[in-house]
Amino acid sequence: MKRSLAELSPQEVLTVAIWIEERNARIYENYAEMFEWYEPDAARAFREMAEEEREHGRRLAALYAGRYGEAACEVTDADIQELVEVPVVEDGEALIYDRASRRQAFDVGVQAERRARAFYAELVERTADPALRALFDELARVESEHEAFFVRKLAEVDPSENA
Amino acid sequence: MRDGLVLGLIPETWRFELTQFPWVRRLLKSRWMPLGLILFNVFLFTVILMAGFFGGLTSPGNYNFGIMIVWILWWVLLMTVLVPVLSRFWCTMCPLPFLGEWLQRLRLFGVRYERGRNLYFGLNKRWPKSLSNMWLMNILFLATTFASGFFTVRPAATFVLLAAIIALSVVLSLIYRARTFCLYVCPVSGFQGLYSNFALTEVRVKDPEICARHKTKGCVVGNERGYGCPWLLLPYAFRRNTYCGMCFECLKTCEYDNMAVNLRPPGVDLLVDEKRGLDEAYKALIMLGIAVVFFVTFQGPWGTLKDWANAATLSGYLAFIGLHASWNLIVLPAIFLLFTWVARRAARQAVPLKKVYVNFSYATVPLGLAAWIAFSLGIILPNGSYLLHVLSDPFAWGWDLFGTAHFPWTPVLTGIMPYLMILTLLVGLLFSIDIALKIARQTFVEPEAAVRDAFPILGFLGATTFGLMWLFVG
Repeated sequence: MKRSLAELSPQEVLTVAIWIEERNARIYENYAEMFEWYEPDAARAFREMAEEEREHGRRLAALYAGRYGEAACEVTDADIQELVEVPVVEDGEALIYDRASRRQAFDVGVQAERRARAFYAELVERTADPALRALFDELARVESEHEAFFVRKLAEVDPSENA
Repeated sequence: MRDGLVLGLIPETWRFELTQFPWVRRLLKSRWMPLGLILFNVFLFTVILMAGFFGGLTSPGNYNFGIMIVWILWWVLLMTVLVPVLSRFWCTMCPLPFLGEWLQRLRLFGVRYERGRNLYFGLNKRWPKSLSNMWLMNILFLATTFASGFFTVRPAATFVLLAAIIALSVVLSLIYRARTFCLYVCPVSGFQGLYSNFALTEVRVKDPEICARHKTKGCVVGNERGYGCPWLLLPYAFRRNTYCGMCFECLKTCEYDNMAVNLRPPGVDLLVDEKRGLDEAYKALIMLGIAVVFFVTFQGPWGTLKDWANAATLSGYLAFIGLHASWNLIVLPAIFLLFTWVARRAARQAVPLKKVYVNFSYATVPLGLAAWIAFSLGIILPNGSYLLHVLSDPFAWGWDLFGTAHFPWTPVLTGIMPYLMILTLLVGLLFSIDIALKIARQTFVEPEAAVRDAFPILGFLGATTFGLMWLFVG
């Protein structure tokens, strides 16, 4: 039985957040695999984002270690109802029109982080438990930083590249 | 007509999943599907090519297997059943790219898969970005119709056309990746793609959330069960039939059985407000324009025009090409531009004219398809009986395989044919009006003024319909 993120304990929420970063890193790696044959530039962007997600995961793991030490927590992102921060290439015809680019790849990252930030921010509003509320607030701030990072990457891309 | 309902009756979101039946799913997941259908058509087209070759330049078209099967049976089935009902199901079983794809895969039946991806023979280059659209198909289809007068009377012309298509598909398959020929070059592919947006059938993902969580995306990169989408779609995300060749590879590769074949209401993809472009707008108008030219030339009372199209004289033939090309590339698009300009003026909104033009062009698709169905009725009902003759004597060598070689010419339902054509057109007009009103709501900011804003476009659709009706009964 899947549970909502708001029903978890702070320790479980942090664990799930770490799993989400790892899952996203793997999704980006697979997008890189997908696009390698078609659009090597886009594939490179996805690989950069996978590495960044792993770094995000390491930071959250450090936060977890600081709070809970080595205490194990069994819950994963697969155990929650909500789909948080999943990066999705939504343009089903991107390869046909030869429109997949680094710009488009980084935009996928920006959208995912933006959705995650909005999701955690909404949980802050809805959650009564102070500890959990503080954690959601912190996660929203972390996602906001991630979003800013991907926005910067997006800005570095040559504006003449197709959107 | 209310948003969300097709013709105010059927919810646009209504779907009936055909693959819910285990035998359908088993069939579509088998590697015999579509290979079995393709192999049958390879045999059939081999006979067609032979009939074209042996028929030469002089054999009467009515008594040639190639001409009758391709331009009477196949064309009529394509326009009346395959495209409007089954989307691009012809592409599922088309034998023309068979050789090229076989060479790419170096497998007739199995799947070449190593180290996480499918293996392909050939250079696998990317098709030029500037040609990654429908423009080339628009030009090639229009150019093919320049020779329409030959295809129906000279068997060798059909032979040359089909042989050229096969040769080109093989060459392009060895140079470029996947189904590049089908995606960007095949003259038949473009209009099938656009008109399939009206079709009653679709291949789509069932639950997008499953795909979002799924990391390996075998539908794109392939796996040991099948090939990554040969049509370069991302099967978990596409929303229009335009480029889905219905090869069913995504049903085979999906690890979660999350791809489905659905029945759906007609025309819903025409409302997908993404990926619309001037290339597709021109395709819609060219198809409508060619239907008009074909009516006038081949089914109208003007024998001179038919003589021009059949190249009775060089000057006449050049006049036909000039008029045909000008009408389709300049005159009709310009007339439509005038109507869209008036619509934009009426709306008094700062929407770019190009957007108004492109968006409303999709409203002409149902009417264009109806015009082609009506034209097809004008082919099959008077001439269908010739099929019985050529089935028994495919090479005009005096055979009588099925005892029907001497079946007399028997027109069917020709007395009510004009009324069937008019009825078909009116149904097409109804759908076009429905789509135009919804596109008006998408295009302009004030949805409540949609009828007013769409009025000039409705005028264009109505005038075209009545013009075609006049041609049928006039």
